[in-house]
Amino acid sequence: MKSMLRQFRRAPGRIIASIFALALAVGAIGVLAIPTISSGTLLEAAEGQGLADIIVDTTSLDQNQLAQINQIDNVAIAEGETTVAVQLSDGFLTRLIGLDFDNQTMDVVQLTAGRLPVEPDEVVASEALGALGDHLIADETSYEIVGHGGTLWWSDSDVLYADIDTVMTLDGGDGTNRLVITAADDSIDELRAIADEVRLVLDSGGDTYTTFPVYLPDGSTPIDQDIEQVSMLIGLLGIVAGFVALVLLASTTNTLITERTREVAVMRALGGRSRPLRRRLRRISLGITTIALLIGLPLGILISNFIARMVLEEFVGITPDFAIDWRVLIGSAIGVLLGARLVAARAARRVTKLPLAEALRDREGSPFGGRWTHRLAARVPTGGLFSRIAARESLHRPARTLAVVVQISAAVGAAFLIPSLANSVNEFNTSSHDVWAWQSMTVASDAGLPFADTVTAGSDDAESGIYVEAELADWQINVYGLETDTAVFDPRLSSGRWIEASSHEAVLSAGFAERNDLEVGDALVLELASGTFDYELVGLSNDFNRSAYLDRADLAGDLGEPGMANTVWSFDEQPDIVLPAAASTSTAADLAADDNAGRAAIVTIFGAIGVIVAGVAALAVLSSMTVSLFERRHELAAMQALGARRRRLRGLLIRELLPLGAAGLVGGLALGALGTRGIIGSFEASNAVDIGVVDAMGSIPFIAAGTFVALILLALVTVRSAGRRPVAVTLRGAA
Amino acid sequence: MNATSVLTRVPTAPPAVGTSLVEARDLTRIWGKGDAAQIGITGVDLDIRAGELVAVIGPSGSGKSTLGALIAGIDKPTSGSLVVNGKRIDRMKTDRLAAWRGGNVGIVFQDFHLLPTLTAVENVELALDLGTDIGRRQRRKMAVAALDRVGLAGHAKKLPAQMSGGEQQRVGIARATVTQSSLIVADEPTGALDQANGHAVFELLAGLAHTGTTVVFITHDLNLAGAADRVVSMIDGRIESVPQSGTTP
Repeated sequence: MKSMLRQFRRAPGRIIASIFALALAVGAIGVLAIPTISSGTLLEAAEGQGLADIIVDTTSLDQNQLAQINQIDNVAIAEGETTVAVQLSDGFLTRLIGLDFDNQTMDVVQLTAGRLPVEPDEVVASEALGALGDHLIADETSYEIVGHGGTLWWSDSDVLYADIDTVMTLDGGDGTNRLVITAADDSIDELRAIADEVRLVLDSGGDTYTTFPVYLPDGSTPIDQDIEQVSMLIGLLGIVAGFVALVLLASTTNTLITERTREVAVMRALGGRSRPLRRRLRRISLGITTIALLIGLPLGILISNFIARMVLEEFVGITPDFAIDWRVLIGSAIGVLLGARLVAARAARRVTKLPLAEALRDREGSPFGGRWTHRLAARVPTGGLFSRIAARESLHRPARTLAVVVQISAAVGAAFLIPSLANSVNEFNTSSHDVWAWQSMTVASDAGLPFADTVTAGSDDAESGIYVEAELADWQINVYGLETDTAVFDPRLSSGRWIEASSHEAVLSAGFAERNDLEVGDALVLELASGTFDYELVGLSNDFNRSAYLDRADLAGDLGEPGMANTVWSFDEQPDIVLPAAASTSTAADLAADDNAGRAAIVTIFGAIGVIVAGVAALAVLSSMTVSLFERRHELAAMQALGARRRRLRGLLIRELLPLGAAGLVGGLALGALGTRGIIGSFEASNAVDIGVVDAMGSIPFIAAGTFVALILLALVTVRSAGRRPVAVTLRGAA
Repeated sequence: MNATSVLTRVPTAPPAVGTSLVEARDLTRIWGKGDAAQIGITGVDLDIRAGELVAVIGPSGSGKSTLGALIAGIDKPTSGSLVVNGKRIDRMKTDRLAAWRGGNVGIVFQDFHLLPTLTAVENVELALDLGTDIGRRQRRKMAVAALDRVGLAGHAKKLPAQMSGGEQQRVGIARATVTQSSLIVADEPTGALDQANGHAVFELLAGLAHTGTTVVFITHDLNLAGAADRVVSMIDGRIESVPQSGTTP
C-alpha cells in the first residue's frame, strides 16, 4: 500500500488517467453480460408464465378434439384459448384474449397490479390502455379494468385479457381458436411431429390450422433469435473493448515498471535480489488494476443492465430486473488481473535482467542505438531534424507505437462500424420496400382467410391477396398469394420468370434461394398451416426478403379456403373498401416510420456501445501518449533549453502523432469495414436473406478530421502543460 | 564565409570584453509557499564581465545550480532583476525566453542531455536549427566543424548510446558553442566524468573564454575552479564571497 501511495504521489495525474481508462475498459467488457441478463429475464418470464412449446391458431376446436390432442404421444398438456380482434372506442384495434384463469397452466397472466377478472365484463389490460377501475368500450361492450399485467407472448402488444367464456361468446361460442401445447420432449423434431399429429386430428373433424405453428424448441422464447443477434453484435463490441483494455493495461504496466529501471538498478547494486524486486514491481501494476476493477466492475454491471433494459423494453416490451452475470464479472476480473500479472511479470523480468551498469547509467532502460534497426534508422535522413526525431522515436518504442496505432484503430473502427451498420440496415429496409408499389396494406385481424378475394373486384386501385407464414427448407418464410398480373408487386427477377395462374408455381427471394441451394426449376416443398404442398420454382426475386410469391388462387386452395383472402393492398393510403371482417390498415409511411423507429433504437443502443468503445480507445491513446511524453519530458526540456519554442515542440509531437493517426485511421477503417461485413454476413447467414453492406463512406472525412483534430489537441494540451514547469526544474529532476 | 556572419537571428551583438554581460540584482528564487517554501537563492547581486571565466562553487544545496539556471534563462527568479547581454530576461515570457536562449546562451549540462535519437552531429545541428535561421547545409558544416574542435569529428554519426560519458560531454560542449553565443553556462560539466576527461572538458571551456566568450562554470572541483578568472563561492543561497580575478576562496 505504501509503495502504491508513493507511486501515486510520483505521478498522480497519470495514475488517475490510467485507472479511469482501465476502469472504463473493464466496464465496457461488462456488455458481454447483456445476453445472459436478457436471456435470464426471458427464461424467468417463460417459466413463470408457462410459455408453450407450440402455439397455433385454428378453426374452432371443441373439448373432444382437445382431449384427443392431449392423447398424442409426447404432448404433456394441450390447452385451448380464444382470441378475437376488438376495436376500442378511440379506434385502437387490439385483441381480447380469452383464458381459463382458474385452470390453465400456460400463458399465465402476470399481474403487476389489481386482480384477475371474475365477472364477464372485467379485463386485465396493459397499463397503457387505462388505469385500474377505468371502463373500456370494445366493440360496443364495456369492460372494467380490474388488473394490470400480461403474458410474455403478447408482451409487445397492448391487449386485453378476459375470461375464456366471455371471449368464446364473442367469437361465436362454439369452441376455442388457439391451441397451446407443452411437449414432454421439446426438441424441434418432436414438436414438428406433434404438430403433424395435431393437424391430422383437426383434419378428421373438418378443422384446420389457420396460421402456421410457432415452435419454441429447447426452452426458447419468441424473441430468442433477435436477442441472440443483438447480443452477438454487443459481444463483438465488448471484445473490441476488452482488447483495447488489454492494450491499455500492457502499455500502462510497462511504463510504470520501466520508468523505475534506475531505481531497481540501485536496489540491485545494493544487493537486492531479483525475485523480491520483481514481486514489488508486479504489485504496483496489480494495485492499479485492482483499483480499476473496483470502479470498472460496478460500472460494467450498470452498463450491462442499462443496455439490457433498453434492448428488452424495445424488442419485447418487458422490463428486466437488475441482474449480475457472475461469469462475466469474475471472468473479466480474472482476465484483467491475469493480463496485468503477465505483462507486469514480463516488464519486471526485463527491468531486472538489464545489465546493471547499463541500467544505472540509463534512465529508460532501453537506450536508442542498442539495436541494429536503431543504428540503421540513425543513418537514414528522413526529413528535417524534428522529422527524424519523430520517426526514430516511433521506432525506439515499437510496442508502444503499435499499441497507439491499435488504440486509434479501435476507436476509428467503432466510429466507422456504427454508421456503416446503420447505412446497411437503412438500405436494406429501403430495398425490401422497393419491390412493393402499394400505399396501404389492410390485413384481417383474425387468423384464416376471412373474406372473399372478390372484395376488390372492380377497384382500380386495390388488390386482394393472402399473406401467411410457412416453412420451406427448415426456414420460416413469408408467403404472398398475389394476382398473377399484380400491379402491387414488382418482382425484380434476377433469373427465371414470373408465376402463371393455377400452375402451382412460385417465385422465391433470390438471397434465400442461394443460401439454400435452390435454383429455378427445382421443386419446392412448402409447408403451410394446412399441410405440405409442392410448387415449382420458376423465378428468383431481388426483394431482400425471405419470401415466396404464389398465385393467390393456388394458395387459397391449399389453405383450404378457395376464393378467400386476408389482405388488401391499395395504391390509396385510405382505401375505400369495406371488409366483412376486422382488419387493420398500415400505410407505407407507417411501416417506414416503424422501420425508422426500430432502426433508431438499434442505432442508439449500438451507438452507445460504440461511443464507449471509442471513448475507451481514445482514453487509451491519451494515456499512452501522456505516458510516452512523461518519459520524454527531459528530452523536451533539453530542447526548450536549446531555444525550442512551444510551437516547435507542438510541431514535433504532431509529426510523431500524425503518422500514427494515419496508420490507425487506415487500420480502423479496414477494421470497421471488416466488422460491418462480418456482422451483416452473420445476420444474412442466420436469417437467410440478402442484406448487403453499404459502407458509410460519407462518415470517413468526419472520422478522419475527428482523429486528427483529437491528436492535434492532444499535442497542444501536452505542450501547454509541459510549458508550465520551468525547464530547469524538469532537467534537475533528471539528475 | 565566416560562420558568424551567417548567424541571422542573434538578437544582441556581444559586448566588448570587460563590459558587464550579466547583472543580477537582489536575485531570489524560492519554490513553494509558506512552510513548504524552499529557498534556492536569495538576495544575490552579481556582475560578470564579458570574456570572463567565472567558477561558481559551493556545497550541495548552496544555490549554485539555481544561479546558473537563472543566468542561462532556463528558470525564472521569484524576485529581483537579471540583465544578460543587455536584456531583462527575468521579465521575458516563455517563448521569448526560449528564443533568447537559442541565440544568446550555450548550456552544458552535467547529464549531457543529448537527444538519444539523434546522432552526435545532429545533436549539435539541433542547436543551430533552434537558435538560428541558418540553412540545412551550412548547419551541417558548422556542426561538423564544432565536433572537430572538440576532437570528435570521427564520431559524428554515432548515437549518444554508442559514446562514452566524456565523448557525450564533448558533444554537449560542441552543441553549446556551435551558435557562437556570447555566454556559456556549464553546470557541473565534469561531474559525471573521470579526472582526465574532466580536465579535457575544462580546457575546452577555458579556451572559449580566451576567445572572448563569457563562461559561467559551476563546479565542486576546487582545482578546476582555481584556474578560473574569478571564483564565486555560494552557501545557503547567498554569495559568500566574490574574490578578485585569479584568486581562490
